Amino acid sequence: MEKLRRIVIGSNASIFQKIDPDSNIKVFAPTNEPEINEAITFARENNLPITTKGGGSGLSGACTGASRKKVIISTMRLKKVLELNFKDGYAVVEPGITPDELNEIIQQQKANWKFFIAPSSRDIATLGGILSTDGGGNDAWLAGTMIDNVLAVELIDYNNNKIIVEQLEGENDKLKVKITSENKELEKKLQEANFSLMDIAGSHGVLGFISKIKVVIKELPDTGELSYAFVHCDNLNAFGKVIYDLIENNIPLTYGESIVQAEHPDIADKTNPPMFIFEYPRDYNDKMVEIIKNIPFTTFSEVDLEEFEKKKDIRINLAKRNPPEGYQIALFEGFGIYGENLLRYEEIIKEINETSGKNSFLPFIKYGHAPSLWHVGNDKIKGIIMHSREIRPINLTRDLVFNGIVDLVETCEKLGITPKPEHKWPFSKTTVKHKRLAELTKVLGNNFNPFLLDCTLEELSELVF
Amino acid sequence: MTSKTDIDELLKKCVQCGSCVLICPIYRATGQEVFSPRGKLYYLKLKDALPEKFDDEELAKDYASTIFTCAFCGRCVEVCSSEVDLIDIFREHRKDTVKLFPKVIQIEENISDEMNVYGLDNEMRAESWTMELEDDFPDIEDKIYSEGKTSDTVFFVGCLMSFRSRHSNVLKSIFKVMEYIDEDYLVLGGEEFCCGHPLDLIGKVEEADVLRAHNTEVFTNTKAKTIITDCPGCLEALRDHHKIDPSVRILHLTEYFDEKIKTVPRKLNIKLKYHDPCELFRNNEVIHAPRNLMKKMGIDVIEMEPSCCGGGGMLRVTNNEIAQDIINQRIVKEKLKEEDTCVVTCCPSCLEQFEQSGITTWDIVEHLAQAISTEEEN
Ligand SMILES: Cc1cc2nc3c(=O)[nH]c(=O)nc-3n(C[C@H](O)[C@H](O)[C@H](O)COP(=O)(O)OP(=O)(O)OC[C@H]3O[C@@H](n4cnc5c(N)ncnc54)[C@H](O)[C@@H]3O)c2cc1C
Ligand code: SF4
Ligand code: SF4
Repeated sequence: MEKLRRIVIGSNASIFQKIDPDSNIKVFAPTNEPEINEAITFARENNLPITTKGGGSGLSGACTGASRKKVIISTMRLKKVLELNFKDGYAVVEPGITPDELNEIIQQQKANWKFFIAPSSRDIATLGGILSTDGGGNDAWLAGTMIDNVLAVELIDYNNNKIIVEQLEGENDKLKVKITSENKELEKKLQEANFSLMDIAGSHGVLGFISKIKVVIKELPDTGELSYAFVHCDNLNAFGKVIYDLIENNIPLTYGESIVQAEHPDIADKTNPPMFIFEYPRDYNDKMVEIIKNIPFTTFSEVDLEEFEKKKDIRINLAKRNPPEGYQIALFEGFGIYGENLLRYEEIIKEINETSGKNSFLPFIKYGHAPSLWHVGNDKIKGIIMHSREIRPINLTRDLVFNGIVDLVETCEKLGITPKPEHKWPFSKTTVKHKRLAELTKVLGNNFNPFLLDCTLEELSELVF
Repeated sequence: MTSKTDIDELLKKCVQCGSCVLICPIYRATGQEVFSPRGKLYYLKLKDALPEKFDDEELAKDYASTIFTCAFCGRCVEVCSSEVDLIDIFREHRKDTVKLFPKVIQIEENISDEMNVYGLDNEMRAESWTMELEDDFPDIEDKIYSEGKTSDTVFFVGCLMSFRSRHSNVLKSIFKVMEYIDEDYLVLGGEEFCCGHPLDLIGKVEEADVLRAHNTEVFTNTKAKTIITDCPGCLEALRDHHKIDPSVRILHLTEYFDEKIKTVPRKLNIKLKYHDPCELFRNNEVIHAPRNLMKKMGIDVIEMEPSCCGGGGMLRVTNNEIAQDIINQRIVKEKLKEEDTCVVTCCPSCLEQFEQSGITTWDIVEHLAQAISTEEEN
C-alpha cells in the first residue's frame, strides 16, 4: 500500500493535481504527538522538506508540495477535541478536525453553541487548513475569518521544537501575543521578530506544523426573528452597489451570498443572476427594504425559509457544478473586489471575462460570500470574495493555463483587485504576506513548503491535468 | 452499460473537492485516503495522465483491493454535486481488476456451479426452511413453484434468506402476513437462481445475465403480476437488470405491505431505531414505505444517520475486518449499546450485520406479524 499511499496523497481540489508520485518520498498520517515528531524526524534525517496536508480542499495547491521531493504529513487522523470550555468560550483541538465535526461534538453538549467559521467546504476542510489559509464562510461578515476566531496555536518546527503563540488575556489584537517554547533561543528570536497569530493565519504551511489550535466557540446570538430575502439586479453595477451600501450601513446580515453569473441553464433559470440570498434580523427589514429601494435596477423580494434554503443549497453546490457540456476549471480563485471598485462591477467583470475568454477559458459561473471581509496584511478589507469557474478548453495545454493565469493576475493588478492571499500565493512574490513569510523562515527555517516561496508559474502550470 | 468513454467523462467531472471523503464508511473505518472515494478517483486520473508511473503489478493489486473495499452504499454519489456516478466507475473498474482480487472468485464459482452465492445444492433453496415451517404452514409445499403453477404474486426469496437459518423467522412472518391479507403467492424454490447482484458487483455482467434470463422466464411462466422481495440487492437486480415485462410490478416487501395494509389490529406502541438499508433507500429510493408501515403498526421510529452498516457491496467477503469496523463505529455513533435500543430494518444483510455485533435487530415484517396477530405472543 506504500506506493499507492504516495500516489493518492496528491489528491486535492486545486487545479494543480498532476503531482509526480515519486516526489512524495514518504507519507505520514500521525494520530498523536510522538507520531508527528517521528514524521518530522524522518524528514530531517533525510534532509527532505515537509508539506502538511489537511483536507486537500485548498484551491491553491499548497498542500501538494508540487512535484518536488518531500515528506507529506496528513492531519486527517488528528481530530481530537482536547478541551471544551463553555464558561470561557473556547475549544482546544487537533488540527485535522473539520468545522462540521467540531460543531457536532459541541452541540452534543450544548445545542445552541457553535464554532463560527463555515466555509462551503466545511465538510472536509480542517481547522489547520482553514487557519493556514485564513478561511472564512458566508458568516464572515459577522464572525470574521479564522484569525478572528483563534486564541492560541501550537506549532512544531523542523527540530520538533514546540512553539506556543497565545493571544494576551483581555486583548483582542492578534498581533499582541505571548510566545513560549522550550527552545529559549528560538523563543527570543521569534519575540524579536514580532511573530504573531497574524503571521500564522494564511501562512500556507510554511512556518511549521500546526499541532493544536485554541478557537473561540460561542452561543448562537439571539437575533430574534429572522427575515429572508432575495435581491435581483438588472445589471452588475447595481449588484456592486448593493454590496457597497450594505457595507456602508453595516447591516448585521447573518447570511449573505451572491450569484454573479451562471452560464448554466439550470442554475440561471432557478436563480436569475446577478442576485443575492440574504438572512438578517427581522428588526432590519425596513432598513433593508429602504436600502435596496434606493438602488436603481434592483428588486427586493422577501421569501420564506423553505425558498431561502433551496437557493442556499444551489449556491453551496455551485463550486462543484459542471457545465452542461464540457468541464469546469477554477483558473484563478478569489477575486477580492472592494471599495469604489464595487461601483464599477460591470467593467470589472467585463475585463475579467475578456481576459479569460482571450485565453480560451469561457466564463461559466461566478459567485461569492457578500458582503464579506478578509485580511490583507494586517488590514481588514470589506467587499466580496468572488469565486469563478471557467469552462475548460477541450485541448487544455500548459501554455494556455500559464498565459491565462498570468493575464488574470495582470488584469487584477490593473483593476486593483486584491485576492485573498490563499488564492494568490503562486503569483504573490510582491505581496506583504509573501515577504513576511520569507522573513520568518530566516528564524524558523525554510523546511516546510519551501516551494511556496520560490516556485515559478512554469513549474505550477506543469501540474495541471 | 457504462462505456470506457463514459467512465473517462465521469472522471473528468470530478473536481476533487473532497465532499465524499468523510461521509464514506470505508474512509471512516480506515482513516486512509487510499480507501476514500476521492482517492480512488484521483488514482485513475493520475494514471491516465502519467501512465508510465503505474506500470507496477503490486500497485495494481493494491488498487484492486481498494476498489473491492467498498460497500456500494452510494453515499458518495448522493453528496457529489459534480454528478460523478462513482458506483458506475467502481463497478467498471472491478470488472477490470477482478482477476487481481482472488477473494471474490469463489463467489463466482459458487454461482456458476450452483446458481446461489453459497455454492449449495440449489434444490435446497426452499427445503432448508420448509421443514421448519411445516407445522405453522401445513400447505407450504403448495406455495413452491413447479411447472404449470401460476399466481398473481411471486415472492423472490433471495440467496441470503433461502440459506441462512436466521431468516426463517422472517420468512415465517412474511407467510403469516400473506395469509392475513389473504393473498395467494408462489416462491420459486429450486427454480429461483441468484439475482445476479453479486456478479454485477464484480463486473461479471454477462454471467449475471444468464441467471436473470432464467429467472425472467420462470416469472413469465408463473403469470405473476407482482414480484416482491425483502432483499434490496435482489430488488435492484429485478428492477434494473432483469428484462421483466414492464407491466409486472416489482416491489419491496415494505412497499407491498404498505399498500395492502391500511391498519393493524394490534398497535405495538414501541420505539425502535430504524436502519435504512443503503441499497433500498439510495439505490431503489424506497424511503417512505417502511416508515409508513411502521407508523401504522404503532412503532415510533427513531431516525439514525443514513449511513452504511458495512454489510453491502459484498464487503463482508472482500474485507470482513473493515465491514466489522464500520458496524462497530456505527454502534458507537448511534449509542446502540449504551441506550439498549433495538434496531429495526428491512434487509437480510443489514439485519445480520447488526445482529452479529450483538445488537438486537428485527426485520420490520417480524413486527408486522405481531401487529396483525390476535394471539398474545412476543
Ligand atoms: C467546494 C469548495 C468550497 C470552498 N469554499 C470555501 C469558502 O467558503 N471559504 C474559504 O475560505 N475557502 C473555501 N474553499 C477553499 C478551502 O476549503 C480552504 O482553503 C480550506 O481552508 C482548506 O482547508 P484544508 O484542510 O482542505 O487544507 P489543505 O488544502 O489540505 O491545505 C491548505 C494549506 O494549509 C496547510 N496546512 C493544512 N494543515 C496544516 C497544519 N496542521 N499545519 C500547517 N499547515 C497546514 C497546507 O500545507 C496548505 O498550505 C473551498 C474549497 C472547495 C473545494
Ligand atoms: S464529491 Fe464528487 S467531485 Fe467531489 S471529490 Fe467526490 S467524486 Fe469528486
Ligand atoms: S459507495 Fe459508499 S463505501 Fe463505496 S466509496 Fe461510496 S461512500 Fe464509500
